[in-house]
Amino acid sequence: MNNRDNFFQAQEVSKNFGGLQALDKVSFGVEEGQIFSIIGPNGAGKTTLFNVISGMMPCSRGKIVLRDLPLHKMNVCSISRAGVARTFQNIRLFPNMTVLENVLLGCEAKTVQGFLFTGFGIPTIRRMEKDKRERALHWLDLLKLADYNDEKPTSLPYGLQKRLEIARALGTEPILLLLDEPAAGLNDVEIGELQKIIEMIRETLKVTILLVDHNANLIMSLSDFIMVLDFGKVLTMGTANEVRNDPRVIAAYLGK
Amino acid sequence: MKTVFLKSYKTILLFFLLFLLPVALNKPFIYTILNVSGINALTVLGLLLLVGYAGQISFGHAGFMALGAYTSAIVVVKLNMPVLIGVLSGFIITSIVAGLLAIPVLKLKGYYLAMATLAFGIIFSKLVIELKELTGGPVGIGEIPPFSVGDLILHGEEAYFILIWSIVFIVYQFCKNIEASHIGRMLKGINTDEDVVSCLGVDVKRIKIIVFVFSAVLASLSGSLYAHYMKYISPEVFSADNSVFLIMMVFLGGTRYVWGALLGSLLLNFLPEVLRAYKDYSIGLYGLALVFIVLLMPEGLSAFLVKVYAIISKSFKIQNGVPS
Repeated sequence: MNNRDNFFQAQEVSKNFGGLQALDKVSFGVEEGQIFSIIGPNGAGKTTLFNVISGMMPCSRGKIVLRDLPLHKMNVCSISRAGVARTFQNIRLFPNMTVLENVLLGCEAKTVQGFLFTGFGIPTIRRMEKDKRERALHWLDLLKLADYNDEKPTSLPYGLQKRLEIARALGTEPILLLLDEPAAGLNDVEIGELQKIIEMIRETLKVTILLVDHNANLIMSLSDFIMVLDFGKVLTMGTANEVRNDPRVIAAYLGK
Repeated sequence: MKTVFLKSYKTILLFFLLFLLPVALNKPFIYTILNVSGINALTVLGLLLLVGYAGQISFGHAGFMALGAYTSAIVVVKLNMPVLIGVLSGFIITSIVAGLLAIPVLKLKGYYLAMATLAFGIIFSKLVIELKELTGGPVGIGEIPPFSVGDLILHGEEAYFILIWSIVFIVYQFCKNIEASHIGRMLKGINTDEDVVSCLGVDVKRIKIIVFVFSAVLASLSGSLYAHYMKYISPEVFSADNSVFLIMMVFLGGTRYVWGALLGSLLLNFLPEVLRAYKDYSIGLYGLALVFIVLLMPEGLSAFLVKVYAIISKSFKIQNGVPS
């Protein structure tokens, strides 16, 4: 592995569900500040890879390391606190809370819970709440969702719901953001806005991004590096141009 | 402290009205129902957080009430300790039992969690009956001394009303603070999608255990108060049926507003009394009343009352020519 990739590394990550090998010795490294895309046909194992990195599933074999932290040995909560955030392919927002409250939940992770202090209404807790509220409003503002603060997520158009998921993930102030098919179901205008948002996250917020999507334009315009998965194995890796012209990739997408 | 009282003047006013109710209706026995409602309300408030918000169903909380009641009764009657020590002992023992129980049990979800907590309630009931020397078995423990703090001994329904409903007031404010806070959001998030809440960096396991133990300790407080109020406890008072009753109080009262817990407790304690006049029909009418509430007020009585109040005040404004 390249020495420059000491920000994030996956080493021979494998995941099997009984007889099904969903991931087979997947290895790759990501530099800090990169937009690293993972593409492949449906069922290639992309979401499984995200589930394993975020800790929602344990990997059967292999190592996942973020700045010397062994993520493969940690649980979901610790991985999140280490700076990994994600969005979901099928939106998983909290429908019974407002837009603001959804993002607030993202911002609370690093709060000391203080059950008794909170119950007794100790002023410190209320001050922390005010700070959190300001941070949440900042994220909503940044992602141009500020007009919807008090709405329920279900009343938002689909594209904005996807954006809300990103705002919530950013609330945890991650160093690594996993975006799982953020462009799915979006029209061209929304995809253009999404692209600007992802670029802003990388440039302004300096967050490293792992991006999974099927939209070829988005992937080609944004990615610094692309990895192609097929049947759980790494088919090839390279820059946008290298991958675009690789006959194996074309075959994988069209030949099935 | 001052701000709490100022902001809650409505609540204090309502409690005061409740206090006057038996006097107004010239039926002093209503104090007993009010006091038992208040005692139940403490457990229901705890269950509101655990079941109503976090969605962790528990059919075993009458078991924690029993733990508090019996611990306090035994410590005071058999060991001759002051009442407050009895209540405190109840807290300690209940937190230990609830903490140990929570660790395996909260790994379960849905029906399995319900069954596990139901099992705890039943096992505890049986234990109380079996350990005759300690608990008096089916006969229970009688001649429990009244509630006292140092030399101040409580006598009379009014005194217990003030004690019980003052405690309810404090616990109610506590639960309101929790509901409006980040913890309230975490609990509601856990109900919707526990895994996502974990993904946001919240220690879900820890928070579930904290809320479980908290609700168990409140149940223990309920039980201890009951013991020193009724001065007699037996296994039937804390049977599995009562666990179900408590859950009913949570949902019939409604989870949208924290005072729904108080309303639910008052409702399910008063309803049998109100229907008692109908003798043979009382059980049927009771069932009908519950079905009526569930069908017409899916979010509970509290949400229904708020909606009705909104409609009435809106039409009142229209009648007076005030644009709504």
